[in-house]
Amino acid sequence: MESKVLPTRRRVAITGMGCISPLGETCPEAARSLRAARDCVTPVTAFDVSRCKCQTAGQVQNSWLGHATSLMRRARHWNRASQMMLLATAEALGGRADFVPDAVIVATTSGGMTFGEEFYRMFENGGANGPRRRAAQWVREYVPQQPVHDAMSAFGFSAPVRIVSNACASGTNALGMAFQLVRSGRARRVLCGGYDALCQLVFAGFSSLQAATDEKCRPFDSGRTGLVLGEGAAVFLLEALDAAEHPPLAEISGYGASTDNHHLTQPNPDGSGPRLAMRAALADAGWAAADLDYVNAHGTATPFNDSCEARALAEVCPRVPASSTKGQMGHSLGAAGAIEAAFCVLAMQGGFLPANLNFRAPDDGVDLDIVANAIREAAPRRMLSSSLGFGGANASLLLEAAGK
Amino acid sequence: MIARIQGLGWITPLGRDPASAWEAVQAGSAPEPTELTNPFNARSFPVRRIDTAMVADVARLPRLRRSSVISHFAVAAALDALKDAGCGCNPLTERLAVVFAATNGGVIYTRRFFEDVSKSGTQAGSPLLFPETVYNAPASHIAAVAGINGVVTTLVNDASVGADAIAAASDLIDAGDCDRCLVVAAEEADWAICEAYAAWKLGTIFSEGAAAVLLGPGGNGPVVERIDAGAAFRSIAEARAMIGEFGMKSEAQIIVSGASDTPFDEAEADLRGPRFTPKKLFGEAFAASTLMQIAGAALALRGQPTGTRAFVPVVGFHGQVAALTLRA
Repeated sequence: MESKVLPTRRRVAITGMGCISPLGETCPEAARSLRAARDCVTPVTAFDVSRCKCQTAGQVQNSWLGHATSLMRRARHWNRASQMMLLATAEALGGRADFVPDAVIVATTSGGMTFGEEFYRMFENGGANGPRRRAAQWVREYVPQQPVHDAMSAFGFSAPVRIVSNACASGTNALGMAFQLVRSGRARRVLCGGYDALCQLVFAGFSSLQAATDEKCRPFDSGRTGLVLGEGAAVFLLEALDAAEHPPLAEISGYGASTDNHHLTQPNPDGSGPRLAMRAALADAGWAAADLDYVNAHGTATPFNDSCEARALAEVCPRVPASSTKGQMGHSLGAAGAIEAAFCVLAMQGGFLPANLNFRAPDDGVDLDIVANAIREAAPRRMLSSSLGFGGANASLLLEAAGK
Repeated sequence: MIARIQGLGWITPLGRDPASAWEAVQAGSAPEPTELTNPFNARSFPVRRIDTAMVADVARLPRLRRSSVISHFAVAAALDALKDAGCGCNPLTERLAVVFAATNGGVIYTRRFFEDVSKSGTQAGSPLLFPETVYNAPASHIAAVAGINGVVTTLVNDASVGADAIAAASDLIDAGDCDRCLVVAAEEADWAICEAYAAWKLGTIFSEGAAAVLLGPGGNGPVVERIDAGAAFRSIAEARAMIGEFGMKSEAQIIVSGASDTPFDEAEADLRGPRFTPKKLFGEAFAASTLMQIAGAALALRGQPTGTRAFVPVVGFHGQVAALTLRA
């Protein structure tokens, strides 16, 4: 890739999509769960949470992960993150041998942390002569790019890999960067997405911050008490619309990012961070707020996030129907932006607006059109997906229905 | 858009002043490494550490009081690069972006946090440690200290990420998302990293530190002429072929090598020309080492005739190669 100006501005199509989440092993399953407004948050079984305030999460079923072995035999030795990436990539490619990406851009926050935990426990449990039999593999699988390399090797292609880790905004950032590469003509095809697997360290982290709730996850509800965690992976195939050899599922039309320097873990309550990102995305696409049919909000259900984001939404796109799908599956961190973009595409294809579960009443003075507790039948064509993250990371992505 | 290196910062085991540290690289004189010990098995590893007194000025900043040393290194390098460029860094008058690169990230706090969880249960982690475990904590601190509210992004990968960060920064400038971009990479040393790679029997001396370059369209600094920002390899022979090809295309007169006494060094075997090898003195600090190489290449070109090129090859331990060419 040489440094040079490329003045092109091509339309960018999503021509393949795969998603594994607590809502289902595939996109069609997720679409059914979205339409049914199904609550997929369940008690945590992977590690002991008996003394934690929060004891639930949105979890990908182990039986689904077992299907990774049928795609690649050695996947049985991989961690959850790699297995999820493999399954989502398989669905996105859909058997397409012609899609060889020029670049791969994937988001995560915790990589293969479950193997990092195993590595540490090896020393703790083994003392001076700890078993080292699997150490080399744990180290190899721990790094955040490994699930991507694993998936690429399964499908026989190789490309430069970029891992984006801007905390919970990462997934949207990864799609945004991939969009920019294709739009500018720097890349013809990009495989992008995000993944994150539930692990004890991150669960403990949100528990320590008292950000996790002991009851339902209630995005934008005045009585919200915190988030529940989730996991999953979503993968997209992006290519220039005018050169795409497969019909587009949707288009990506704009992207914006910003940084809020208020605090490492809390957004500025005035909403300036997400507001900047939303406005930048709209300007990037040349859209007005009135063009939007729906906003998939970050909506973690923490008091700070939702009040900040609600302010931004009220200022940038007041009265545009909005919901957070985290009430259905929890917060999948680095994967969230990618999974939620997939949900947007599924909603456009299915003709509905996803539900914001467990909503009762808004904060005082907040006037948002929340798609409360059940889906809304509609024909949405233009959507904004918003993400916020630790470190003040904010990102917004604009998606448009195919065929215009 | 032609991107140039307008300023650089360098936090190395040999010092914070780029010119004097580069003199040491040219002289090839390195101090003896110190040791890090795994408390569980008493195994010790030679490591080239940073004297934390070197970054005491940033450690005292209110935003950084509770942060790990990786953030101190990152912020110090970033501020030095801005100062070197004479950048007033006023976000009201200039749109600055940050691309931060890391391989291991905040591993010290991550290990300490998990120690508590593992010993005392999932409910026992410290709320002071956890926020600093996220990969983008150093980038966030850089943005806060420098007052940057535009695009701030963190990329994670093996050492190749240093070159990819330059590519990402060039893309941001080209796309009009910023006027100039600060590219920073940092790592901190910990026994857990030494133990991890001991399982691979690499044989190198690990280290820590940071480097930063301010990338922008004007000035007299070296031009980023070519970026081969990452290609996956499955064998060292494959890496060697790719590095050889990148090197040939670069037409460089100077090589700033990434060799660090590991089997991966063989990937540079086909490169010809005068060679500097900073890791022999600085040790292996993954992403930070790559930015140190790039900063070193910029230093190597100072005083060279216009058109002289320096080539920076990078071979990551996790399957990706990259390369970068600077021109005076």
